[in-house]
Amino acid sequence: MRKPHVIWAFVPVLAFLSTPFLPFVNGPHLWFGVPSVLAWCLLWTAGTTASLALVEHFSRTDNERADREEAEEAAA
Amino acid sequence: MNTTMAITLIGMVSIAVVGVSGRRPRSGELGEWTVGKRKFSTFTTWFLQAGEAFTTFSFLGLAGITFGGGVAAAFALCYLAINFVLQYFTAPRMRELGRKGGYLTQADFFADRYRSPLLGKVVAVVGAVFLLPYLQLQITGLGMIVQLATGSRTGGNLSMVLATALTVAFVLWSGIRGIARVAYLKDALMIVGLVVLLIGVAVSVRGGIGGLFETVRDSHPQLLTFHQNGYDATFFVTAVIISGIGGGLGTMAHLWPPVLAAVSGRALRKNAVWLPLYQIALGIPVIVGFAGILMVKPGSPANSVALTLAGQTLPGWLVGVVAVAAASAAMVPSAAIVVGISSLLSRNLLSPRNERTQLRTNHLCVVAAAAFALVLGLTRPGLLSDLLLLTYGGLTQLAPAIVMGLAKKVRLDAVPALLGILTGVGVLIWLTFGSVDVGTVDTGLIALVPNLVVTAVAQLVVRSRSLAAVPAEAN
Repeated sequence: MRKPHVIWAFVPVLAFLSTPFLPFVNGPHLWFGVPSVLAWCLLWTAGTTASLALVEHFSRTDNERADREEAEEAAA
Repeated sequence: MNTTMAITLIGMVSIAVVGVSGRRPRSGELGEWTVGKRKFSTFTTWFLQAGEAFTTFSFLGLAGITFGGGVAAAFALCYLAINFVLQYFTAPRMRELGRKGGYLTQADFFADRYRSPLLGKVVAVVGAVFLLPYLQLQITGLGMIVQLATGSRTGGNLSMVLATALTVAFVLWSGIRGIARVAYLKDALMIVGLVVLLIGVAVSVRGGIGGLFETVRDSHPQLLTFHQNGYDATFFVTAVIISGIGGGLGTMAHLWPPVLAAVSGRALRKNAVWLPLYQIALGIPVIVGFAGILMVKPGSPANSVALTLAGQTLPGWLVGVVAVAAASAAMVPSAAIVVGISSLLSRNLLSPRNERTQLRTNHLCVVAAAAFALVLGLTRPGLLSDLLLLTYGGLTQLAPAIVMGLAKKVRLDAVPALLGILTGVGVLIWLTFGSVDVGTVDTGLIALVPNLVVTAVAQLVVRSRSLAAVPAEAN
């Protein structure tokens, strides 16, 4: 893969899809007073922001260059 | 007229007034009306994109699914987050292609990338047909919200007519700028409405939110797991995948204008990073649905749970505030869907040459689509409900062609793309209406398999024929 940091974006996807298959999540448990499944999904919803922020951080140079090129193209 | 009804009606009119105020000087161009000047800031795009995620489903459907299926409702949180993961990569590219190619619609993308106006027209028809029941769902959902909040069936019908007329008025007058303006108000109202509802539930249940879940764990432990009929692990995984693909890859036509209107790819990436945090608010209707399990009579209509609880726990004027919030969650998506349908029909299907005629045709399509959805919502509410079953799965059949079209070089031809889409939609119709038992697997996901196979085989045939034609031509 040319941009290995992209893999971080798919960590929460994997976490979401594994929800029903994790016995410590898929059971009649309460975490912080709410059902473990709901808590898990809410945590990973926040985790999605964290993982995308990480991807954005690692891609900053590439993205900035692309944005600059586009702005120059639009100005021309 | 009671207080709740009065507040609801005043609220709906106020939403429309805010929408009307978004208008810029008349330009007479469909481009300005649909995507502004493609200079929407991160802030404005944020509310437009968030507006698509919070609909009547957030108020009625999510609490309803929890009422019947417990934690299975958390699938909405998961697929919306996955939407943003995919949008982080796809939306900036869609915008970039849109700016270069002057796209106003999803079908413009297909026609341009595949060099096929026919494919553009087919996608326009598929998009408009599948979005129409989604529009009707918002309108009937709004009627239901007002009926539940006020206890008046006539009030519910009246509000459907009023909200549709007001939405059409501000959409015609202000286009996407009006929708953006209303989206700010809607999100503020919605957060207030959800928090009010949560507080109402928390003070009414013995032991507060913590006590609520302890009682549910002791009395209905299966609702905290995926060990339920109809809401098992297969349902969860396949529903998350299909809905995640659907929203993340731009298969719904009304999701395109906010992306095409963004000022930069950076604005879209920033929103994709931060919008998942906003979706955490969807945990509130799930909690409300759990409260419904204890506080609402078993066997009650699932979609009525949130507003029944509002009526049980809040004073009349606060129920009115919640109803206005819920009404705004119907009006903003309705406005976006109307823009999506009308621009597809006027630009890609009817395609008048003159700019001014195109805008006029578009405005006629806005009125026709909204009126059609309203009339069916009032007279035959069940007529489009079957079609609605196909909306998500049907539109997801566009996903393979969208992905291939986003690549730097399009390595798929128009005919294989078209055959794949038609096969996927055909299989989906057969699975849905042919009483084929597929258990809890999402039919849209099953239909994607033949879609991909036909696309790949047709592409191989097209390639082999074109390769065979080259030496023949050379001779």
